[in-house]
Order: sequence, then structure tokens, then C-alpha cells
Amino acid sequence: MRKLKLQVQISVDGFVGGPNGELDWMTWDWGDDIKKYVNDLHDKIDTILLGRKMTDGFVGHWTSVIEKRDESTKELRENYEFAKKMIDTPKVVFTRTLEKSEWKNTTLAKGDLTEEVNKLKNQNSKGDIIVYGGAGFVSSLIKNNLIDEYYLFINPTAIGKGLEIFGSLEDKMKLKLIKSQSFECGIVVNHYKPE
Amino acid sequence: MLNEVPKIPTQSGKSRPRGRKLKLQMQMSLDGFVSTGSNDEQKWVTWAWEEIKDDVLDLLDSCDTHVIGRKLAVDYIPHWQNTFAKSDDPMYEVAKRIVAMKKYVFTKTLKTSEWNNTDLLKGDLTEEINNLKNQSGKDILVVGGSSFVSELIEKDLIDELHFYLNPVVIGKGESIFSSLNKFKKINLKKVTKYDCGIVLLVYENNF
Repeated sequence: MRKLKLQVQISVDGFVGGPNGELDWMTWDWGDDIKKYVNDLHDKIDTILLGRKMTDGFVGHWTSVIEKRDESTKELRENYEFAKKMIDTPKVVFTRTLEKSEWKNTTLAKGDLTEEVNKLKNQNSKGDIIVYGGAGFVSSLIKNNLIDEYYLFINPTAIGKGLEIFGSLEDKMKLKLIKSQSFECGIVVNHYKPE
Repeated sequence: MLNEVPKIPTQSGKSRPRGRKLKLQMQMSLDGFVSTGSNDEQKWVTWAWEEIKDDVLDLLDSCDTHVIGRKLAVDYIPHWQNTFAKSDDPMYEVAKRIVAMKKYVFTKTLKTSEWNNTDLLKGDLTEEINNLKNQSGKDILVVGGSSFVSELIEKDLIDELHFYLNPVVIGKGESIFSSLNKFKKINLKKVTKYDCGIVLLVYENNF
């Protein structure tokens, strides 16, 4: 069965965004080590899950990178390559309101979250499934116990208040640490599985 | 007369002691909480003393002074005093070090200290901490409670943060960063992974 992997940027104090979804606290000066880690992670997946709310921002951002096609520096070339991956990878958008998808390589899932995710997990495919956010959508996936692997990118920043992904849990949840790796930019990636 | 150490100017123009560091050690959940609430018995913390022991003792050995909030102190100081009386207790090595450290309890209400090797500090938090940092000696330890630590963070007094990140989500609880009004970048210094699933994250405050 395919796994659903969560890749999320999180602050030391456990937030994934500022109170209004701000991302200005995140560490962006990534070295080659973490870029390789993210690319390797992405190479094992072939489907991206998106909550409806973040889809416009996500698709819009990577589309604009492709349209600009600025490859004048190593950084920009890498960014362009990554944008292509993001746009070329099939995406499934979870929505109760949209009638049809207006984005490239994107289908809609409108049914019960657990059923739809399990349907995707049961599809015959070599690649796994990944989700990057947003906070509300990820909260629902966690609450319904649908995440098989957690990749928490712990940024060297405390933000005090903001958006959470674990706040909807009724009980404590134990995870099993698979690996912990630190990167030049100060991010620590902790890889967990549900216990 | 206190032994003065050189002070260096900071970006904000205020002079900050270059002297002893104030080091925080806390257990933390994956969702950033240090406690489930006021009656927390830390049952959510992964118990793996033998694995983390060397790192905890190293930190204690780097400190000869311990600052404590009044609310924590009333149970904490007697607890370690009692543990120190039992040389076969698994935590005896911790007790020995805490008992030996010079302790300062921050309080606005207590009149006199009833504990050994412990003085009360009643002045402005920033001034009192900077006074301690300017004295010569080893570093200064703080381990809680969460409201006292929150105030130290709000006033940007902590120099090094040692978080034992437990592989557990507790959903709600007390945070030590909620007093921040804007985000605060810190420098990753060291990461240690233990078999029990705890990850020790050590950060420096670069002001």
C-alpha cells in the first residue's frame, strides 16, 4: 500500500505558520544538503495532496516560477527544476465546494476524507503520496490518523503563537523516531512514524 | 565586590554581559509544550534516564548557580534535598549537583529563604540576572517553571537552550514562548538522537 507522508516546516515551539499564516519566520537559506534531502524525498512520491485553501497559492507560486523561467544562477535553476516537479506531479485537491479543477495535473476529491485518502493509498503505484499543508487540512489528516510518515522540518525559530497541526487531537499521540538529521541552515528534520 | 567581566555592545546598543551564560534545560513535546498544565506529573515524558544521563550531567557540571522561580522552588528544592539523602536513588547524581549549586529563588512574596544554600532575589529580573552573569564562575542553570522561563524568554535573558524533544504530541499545555511578540531566531548548536526516540536540540541565542 502507498504511504501518505507529511513534509512540514515547523517552529521550535510547534507552529506551522504565524497567526495569519505568515511564513516569514521560516529559514530559507538552504544549503545543498537539505535541498538534496527534499529532492530525494520528492523522488519517492508521485502524488501531492492539497487542501483546497492552499491550492491557489501553491499552484500559482510554482506556475509563476516556470513562466518566468529564470535560470541565471544555480539557485534559480534549482528552483525552476523543483517548480517543474511540483507542477508535473499529479495533485489531488480536497474540496467540498469546487465543481471542477482549474489547475493543471489536478483532480478533485470531494468525498469523505478517510475514504478518499484510503482509495489513493490502495491505488496500484510505486510512488507514495505527500502532503505539505495547509494547517487545517493537515490537522484533519492527523486527527483521522491518515499520516504514515512525519517529516518535521524543525526550524531554528520560536514564533510564540500561530497555526497548529496537532491541536485537534483528543489524546496524546506517541510517535516512533526513525531518523533525525541536522542541516547547515540550522533546520533539523525529524522523521517519525505512528507508533 | 563582584568580579566584573568585560561587556560587549549588542546590536540594540545595550550592553550585554559577556560573562556567564544562562542555560535552559526543558523536556518538550513535539507540539512545543513543556507541561500539560499546573498539575503536570510529566507522565508524557519518555523515561530513558540511562540514555540521556551523560548529557544531563554534563550540563549540570557546566553550571554552579541555579535560578528558580518561586512556584517551582517550593517543591523542587526539598525534592532534590530528599533525593540527596538517598545515595542509592537513580537520580542521586543529579541531586548531588543541584544541592551543591548556589541557588537563587525569584520571588515577590517570600520574606526569607528556608532552604540551604539558597538566597532570594526580589529585584528587577533583568538586573538580577545580569548581575549574576557578571559574577565570575561557571554558568547558570534554569529548568522551570514555565511561567518563570516565559518571563526570561520575554526579556531575552537566556543564552543557551537545551530541549529534550520527546516523540509525543500532547495536544495542549503550557508553552514557554507565548510571550513573544515577534518571531525569534536561534542558532542550532548540537543535535543528539537517543534510541528511546528523544532528540536533544541545543540552541544558542545570538541576540
